[in-house]
Amino acid sequence: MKKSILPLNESERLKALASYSIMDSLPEEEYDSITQLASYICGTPIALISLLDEKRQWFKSSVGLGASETARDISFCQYTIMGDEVYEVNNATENKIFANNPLVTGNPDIQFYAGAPLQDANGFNLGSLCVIDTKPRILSNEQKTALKLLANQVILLLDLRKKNVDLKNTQLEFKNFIELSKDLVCIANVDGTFRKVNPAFTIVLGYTKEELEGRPFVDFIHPEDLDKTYKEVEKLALGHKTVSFENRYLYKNGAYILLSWNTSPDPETGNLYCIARDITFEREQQESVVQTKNELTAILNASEFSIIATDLDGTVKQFNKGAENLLGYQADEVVGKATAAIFHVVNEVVKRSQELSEELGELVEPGFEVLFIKARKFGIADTHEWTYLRKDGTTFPILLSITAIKNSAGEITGYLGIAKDISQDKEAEQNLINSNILLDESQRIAKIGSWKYDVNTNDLVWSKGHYTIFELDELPENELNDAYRSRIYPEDLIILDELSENINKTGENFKISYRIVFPDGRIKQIVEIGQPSKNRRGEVISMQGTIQDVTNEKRIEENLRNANKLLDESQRIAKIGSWKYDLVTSDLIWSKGHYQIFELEELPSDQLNAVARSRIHPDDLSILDESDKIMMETGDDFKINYRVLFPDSRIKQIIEIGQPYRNEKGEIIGMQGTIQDVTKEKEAELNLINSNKLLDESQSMAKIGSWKFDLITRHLRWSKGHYQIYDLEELPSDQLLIAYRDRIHPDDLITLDNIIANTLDTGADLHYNYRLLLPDGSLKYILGIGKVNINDQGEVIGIQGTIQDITEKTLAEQIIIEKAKEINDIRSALDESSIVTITDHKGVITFVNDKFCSISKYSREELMGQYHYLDNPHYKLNKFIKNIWTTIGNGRNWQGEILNVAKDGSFYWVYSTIVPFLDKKGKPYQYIAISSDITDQKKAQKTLNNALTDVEKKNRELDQFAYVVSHDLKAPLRAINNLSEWIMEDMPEMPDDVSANFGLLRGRVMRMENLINGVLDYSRIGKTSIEGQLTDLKKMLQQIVETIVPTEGYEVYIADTMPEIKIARILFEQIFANLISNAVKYNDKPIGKIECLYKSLPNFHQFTIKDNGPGIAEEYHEKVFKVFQTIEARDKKESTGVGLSIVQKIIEEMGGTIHIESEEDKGASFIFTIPKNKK
Amino acid sequence: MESEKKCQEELTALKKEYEDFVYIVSHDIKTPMRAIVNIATWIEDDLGPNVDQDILDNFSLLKNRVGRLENMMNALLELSHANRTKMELFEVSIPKLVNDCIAMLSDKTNIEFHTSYNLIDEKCITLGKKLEKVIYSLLDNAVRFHDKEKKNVSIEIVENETDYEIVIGDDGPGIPEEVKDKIFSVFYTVNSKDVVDSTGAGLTICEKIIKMVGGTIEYTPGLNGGSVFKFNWPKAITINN
Repeated sequence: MKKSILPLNESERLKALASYSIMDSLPEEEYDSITQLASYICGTPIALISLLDEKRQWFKSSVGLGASETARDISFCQYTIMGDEVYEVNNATENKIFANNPLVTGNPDIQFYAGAPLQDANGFNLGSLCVIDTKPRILSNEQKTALKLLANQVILLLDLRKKNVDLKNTQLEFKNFIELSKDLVCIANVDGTFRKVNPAFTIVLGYTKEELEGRPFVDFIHPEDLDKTYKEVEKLALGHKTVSFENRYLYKNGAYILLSWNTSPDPETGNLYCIARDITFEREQQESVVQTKNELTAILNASEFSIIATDLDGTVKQFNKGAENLLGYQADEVVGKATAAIFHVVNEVVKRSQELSEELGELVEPGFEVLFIKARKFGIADTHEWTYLRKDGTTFPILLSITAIKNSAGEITGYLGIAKDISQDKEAEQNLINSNILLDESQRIAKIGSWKYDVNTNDLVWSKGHYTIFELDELPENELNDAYRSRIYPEDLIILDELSENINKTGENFKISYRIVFPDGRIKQIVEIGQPSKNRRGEVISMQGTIQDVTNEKRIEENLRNANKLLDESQRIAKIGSWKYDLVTSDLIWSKGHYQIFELEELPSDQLNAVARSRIHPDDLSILDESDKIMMETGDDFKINYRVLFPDSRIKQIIEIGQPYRNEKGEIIGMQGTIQDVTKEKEAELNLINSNKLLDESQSMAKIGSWKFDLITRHLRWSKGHYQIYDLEELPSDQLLIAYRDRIHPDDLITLDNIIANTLDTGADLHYNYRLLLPDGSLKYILGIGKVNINDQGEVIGIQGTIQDITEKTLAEQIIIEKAKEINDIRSALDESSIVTITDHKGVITFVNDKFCSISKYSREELMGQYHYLDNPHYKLNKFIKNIWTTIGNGRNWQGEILNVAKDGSFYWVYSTIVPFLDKKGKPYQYIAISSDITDQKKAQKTLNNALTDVEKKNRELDQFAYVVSHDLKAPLRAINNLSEWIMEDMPEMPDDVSANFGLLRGRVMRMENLINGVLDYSRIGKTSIEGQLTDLKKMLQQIVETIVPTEGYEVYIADTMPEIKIARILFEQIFANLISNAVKYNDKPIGKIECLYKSLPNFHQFTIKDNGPGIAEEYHEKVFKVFQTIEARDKKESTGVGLSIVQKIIEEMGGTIHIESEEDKGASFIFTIPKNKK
Repeated sequence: MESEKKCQEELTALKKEYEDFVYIVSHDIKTPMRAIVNIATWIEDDLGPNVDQDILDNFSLLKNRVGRLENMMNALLELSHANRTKMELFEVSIPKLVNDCIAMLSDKTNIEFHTSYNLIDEKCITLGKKLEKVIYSLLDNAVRFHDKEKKNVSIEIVENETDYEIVIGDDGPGIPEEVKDKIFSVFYTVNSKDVVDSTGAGLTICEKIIKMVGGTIEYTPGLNGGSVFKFNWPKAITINN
């Protein structure tokens, strides 16, 4: 056996051949027609298209030969592929290489062989187009040229085939993607019908494919959404894209599903490439969070609570308006700067720490720990009364509930304290809580350049990236807008202006692509995403967003299209036409096929050229002329693409291959070539490219990407959307795998590998979640679904799927979870501290918290569905309840005290704030009542009132009693006195001892009367106003001393400074008499000394009665003024004890004070003051 | 809360003052009172019986006033002691207690007592001395102020779940409508003390005792023109000072 002759680039050549997937394929008439043509032109019985792989030559097409392949080492073609020209063996038996070749010596008895190499675009000779005869023969030059031309045609076919295979694969992938997608993917048309829908439609909307395709999609749209849908379709018809358009679709069972659409229109066909997603759940969730948030905000608005959130060490994280109002700090003074301990009074914290230490049996350090230890230890809200310290140093009492805030893992991350001002006189007017703006910033679109625009001032602010893209130096805010506008492509500027006008009206987010032009004429394609911000009135006040330079992407798309154009050649040989042009005679000869393609009747050769040119698209004539010229100059082959324009405006796409032919002298004397109608292929290809491109766009809008992995070649391929999600530039397959694994979050990589390995083992569908860790440290959340590819033998040969960037959704969900958690926390804290009820618009209870149940003594089940307020007989249809309903029914808050009846018939008072919740029409759909139990307060008030009445009553009773007693006692006393007088008058000669006894009797009667008078006076003080009169106190004192103080054993000193003042004489007499008689009564010295002193103070007269008696121990200094208090036992000294109380009462009634300065055994001074301005 | 507390304190102080007032009046004034009584006796002894009738009359009047004053003083003392002394809880038989009271009455001529009991248990543990004092005082009033030859006094006791309802009625003169609010005031008597000698403190003391044990007392005119005093006496006694 001979050894094969191998080209130098054999291994690459084999790879190139393999890439066409042609070997052992079924016969195709396109190829057969070429071999027939070759056999016909060259006049040989045999013609072959032979392709050479490692061991054999295989015939894709053969004419006149039974075999389908032969060994490579005996082939003629192995020689042909060594060169670029036609290889000819005129007489094999005489050729020493082939003389002994079995193909020559035996069947098929080859004598003549001529082969043209099949050279592909990269110069690899894949095989040959050869003609064979059993007789020796020589090919003319023309025949050789034709052979070469036909060989080119074969290559075209091969290329086309390869392209077709690629297209088919792409189509398949495309189809797979659509089939696999959980999103609704469809092709619709601006005429309003569904053209194609994917299976997700059946899952999401319940209809079968057949029920949808061809049907108008408006049939399925919620009537209220029709108008806006029509408008959106109009915009699409004009070539605008649709981003995140939402409308409701009818589910087969009658419910409506909210869909969000991303759509790219193809303006030529009117096709709409759509991706839609069921966002019903998200929207509901979103709405429920918004609603809950609103409710909460309203609750907090309506409440008078101070709400302070702290982290673990007590640092303030949130400080609501209520806290600001109550504590006098501004949020930014304390948030992140101070701990919650500064609001507390140190002593109280210390005291509480001792209490807690005792209660918990462990040492609790006084500090922030004191506040939250119970919340931390027992996981319940700890409610306790505290005193809050305002910024200005004043304090007020509060009821503070502290709850631990936990993250989703159950770890405590901080504390929430809700405090209620419980100082009684405080009016309830607390303001908004800063609704947590932090949490609202979920919609972040971090891309390349960002901007912010103030609608009112026209001020524009750009990030550095934005400046870089626009190739501008940083500019002041007010100049930037002009610079920006001057960069924008004029036509696009109009669109942009229209858009921004629109946004001002609608306030919707937008996405737009436009071009910017640089002074040097370069153009950049920009994609801009933006969102407007609104003020409270809903007016757009500013916009912000990001831009992205997508020029490169656009250019690649462009290149691809061109490349495709070149690649796309004839598809059917039946549509091939051949031609020949004689330069000398200018005769043009066409084959029938050529005439058919051009749709012309046969014409004389001299007229044909002119007619032919008239059929060619005017724009393309130059292409033809140019290629002719080049060929004449260089002698090279040409291949061109042009369009034929028919009178009815139809267009055919033509590929023409041409070649010069020469005379014996080598001069070019003519041209010949073939044409091919490739209209259909071209269209199909363009369509596919178009739809791929549009789908890519839709994908990137919808943040979807698709991928495919070939297990055999280990090639990974990604759609553009996939690259975008991964934030990667397009990469060759071998680098992509590494880059891909690099991006995945290390923690998720193993799990992901396991899931994929499992799918490969079992063939089960893929469904997985993982995270990307981008170089900037940010995370992306990815949801992937996929499927294995199985070949005919049932082996898994690949895997493919789609991914979806669910970061926003995940983050939003996380926020929802956190938010819900927080809401729960706050709500439970609120639950702890307040009574909460919710009723519908009719007042029927839809929610009650535990506190309400416990105060009303009803169970939750008994309360739900009942009318609030109305079952109270005290309020039934009366003015009070009407007034409440008028207020809240008109959407206003109501605050006030309500008396309620509990289940057991007892009454309780609450202080309620009722907040109406309004629907879109401004009508209340529910009411929330936040109440606090003020029953105790009310009771206390009542008790207080009662007590006050009691005191007054008692006081009166006592007075009356005193009066009655003294009066009634005086009656017999007076009788005794009078009777004894009469008896003495009647008995002038009364014995002395009797007379003395009568004296004694009358003395006692006097004393008793005095006592009784004293009692009476005592009770009268403060009731009777006694006229003041100018009195010389010195004289008055002298008189008192004379009557009270015995002349012996006492020394009395009365100060000369004693003034003469206008006073109630009787009262002063009583004071001095009492004090001086006390001094006498208690004297224990041989010589009692009594001093009456006076001092004039700025506003008071000060009198002192000083004695040298036994003194009064300090512990009695106050007691002595109590009624009937005598220091020594009563029987030891005769004393009423009433005296000093009367003195004190008199002095205090006059607005003065009295006190004692004394030490035991050193005498006592009674010092009292009387205001000077007192009459 | 603050003011309530203050109010309560004030009230307590007032009550104390009232108690002290009564105490001092009855106690401290007792000293000269005793002296007056003694001196009057000495004078009577010294004067002997050989004096003018006028003087004797006057002197007996004087003695009467001294006695009245002393009675008033004692009544006041009793009033102030009402919630301090004889506070022992012991078992009593209610019919027996009523009978004892009747037996204690000084003059029982021409009186018919009508007793009616509706008792679950005749015996009960209570402040026996106080209950006796109340019933005795009411019976004594019924008899003392009676203006007819034949006197009927009824005693009706009904045991309820938580208390005894005790009604004591008579067919005496009754109490004029316009003064019935005053009868519980101390020293108040419907007629002059010279008509029926009385201190006018009995009902005051009864009311104080009943209030102390947590009951109430009220007067209603009897159907036949007499007086009816109705009071309830709790079984479980909490001292309510």
